[in-house]
Amino acid sequence: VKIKSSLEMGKKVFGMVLLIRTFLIFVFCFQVSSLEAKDVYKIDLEEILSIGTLDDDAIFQWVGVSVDLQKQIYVSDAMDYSLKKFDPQGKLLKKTGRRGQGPGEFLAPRFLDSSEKYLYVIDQNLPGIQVFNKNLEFIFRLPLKLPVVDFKVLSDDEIAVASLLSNRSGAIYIIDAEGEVIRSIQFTDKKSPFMMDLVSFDIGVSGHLYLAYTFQDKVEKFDAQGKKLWSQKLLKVNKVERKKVSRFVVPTEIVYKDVALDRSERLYILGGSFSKNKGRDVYVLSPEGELLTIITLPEASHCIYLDSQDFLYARANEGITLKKYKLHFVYDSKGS
Amino acid sequence: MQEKHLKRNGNKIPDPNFQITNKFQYVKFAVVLILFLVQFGMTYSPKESTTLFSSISSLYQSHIPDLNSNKSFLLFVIDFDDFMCLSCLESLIDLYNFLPSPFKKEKSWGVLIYKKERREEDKKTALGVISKKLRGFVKANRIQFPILVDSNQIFSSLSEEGTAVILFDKDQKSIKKYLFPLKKGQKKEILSFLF
Repeated sequence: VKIKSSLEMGKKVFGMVLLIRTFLIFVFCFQVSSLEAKDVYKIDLEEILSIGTLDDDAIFQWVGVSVDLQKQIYVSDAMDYSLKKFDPQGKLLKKTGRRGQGPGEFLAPRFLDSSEKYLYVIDQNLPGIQVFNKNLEFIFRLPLKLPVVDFKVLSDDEIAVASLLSNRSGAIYIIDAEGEVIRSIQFTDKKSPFMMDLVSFDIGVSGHLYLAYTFQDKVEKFDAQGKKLWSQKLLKVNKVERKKVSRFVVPTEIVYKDVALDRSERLYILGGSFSKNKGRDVYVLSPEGELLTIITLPEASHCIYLDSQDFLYARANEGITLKKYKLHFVYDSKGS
Repeated sequence: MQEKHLKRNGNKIPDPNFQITNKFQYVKFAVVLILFLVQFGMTYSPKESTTLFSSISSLYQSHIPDLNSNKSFLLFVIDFDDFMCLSCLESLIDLYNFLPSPFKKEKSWGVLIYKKERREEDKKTALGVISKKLRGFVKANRIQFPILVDSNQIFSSLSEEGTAVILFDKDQKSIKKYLFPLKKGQKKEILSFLF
């Protein structure tokens, strides 16, 4: 009798364990599926670092920023023709550069990007790309015949460059370490009026090209072979006014200022004059081109930058301050 | 900005675009300038950011021109917006580097003008930003003459078209204004007045 009752008890316990296990599996599966169904509802910004105050001489007018894997922050400063390196806490470690056209000198330093070894800097008024090591020592100048308006270092052997050429239709050129064009991704079929094909772009790890037109309401994604995957109009801007200035007819207002990708290949687009908050609204798109949310920066910025840890960098105090923000994602189930 | 830059790169801007030949007007203009310096100015020298009072005394000692001494002097009117378009200032810096030594320091003044709307924002911060950028500009380009921030908008009308240099020539018969970037031949023309 004792053996029989203990067998029955064992069966009950086993049944209970089986039931609990099934329940847990069900809950786990439900959680996973509901996580997959969740989307970004909003993104809150938390300021975690501010470099440059009204009183110090750290930054006078930063233009480009790049952060390496060691979290060192590199900034180009157009006002004092320099390149600056800050530690992750924002302490100025080194400054290099002065006004001039020689090696390591600048006339109007603009954007920069970094690889594992080097730092690449473009100058609005000088041809080519200057290459520095991480200690800000000039290494060489990459010769380039194209005027560069935006660029991204894919590796030390491949740099993607957006150029402004009035006699050609829009394309991103991939150049090698010698500055030679090795291939290009055509993003327009026809030649557009002067400056209308100006773009900011970023390239994801999969080789997908994301770009936003500076003077058109157009955000697009292409695959590595140059096939257009989608095109979006976020602001419903039909046409940007153009004016004749001297012998040029130029667009007068900026639609999109800059783009950046995060680790999940979400696209962040900084809006310009047509945004509700000019120079402050950042539109966040899924890799499929769906608008997820809009972040509003505390102050207007000329560009946005996302580092390898998805920290967002933007301008404050008209360029004398660089702000670093942590992104807090708030998720919400679709349709709720 | 771009529009302004392109406009100034074109050939539509008259050269020089105003003249004061009447000596009375000349003196009147100089008096207004001096009053501004005394009452409202803020200056930045390359070595230190001075206070209002010390800058006034230094201006009195060395920078106020003697109108009877047959000497030329320069007034640089710098548009703050051009700090966002540094290529607009390239021409100014290029001219500065070619100036004869006295015009790099005691025979030149600068006035930094900015749009009135900026005052409606947080005035203290706006002035702080303007002053800091000016400090950076002066330091990086080793500019030795004092540059005053036109916080009371006295000089705004002088340079509606952007950054300019006003030349008070040595014969004191005319004042000429040149817009930056300078057109071909203008640098030589200005320098010929100064030597």
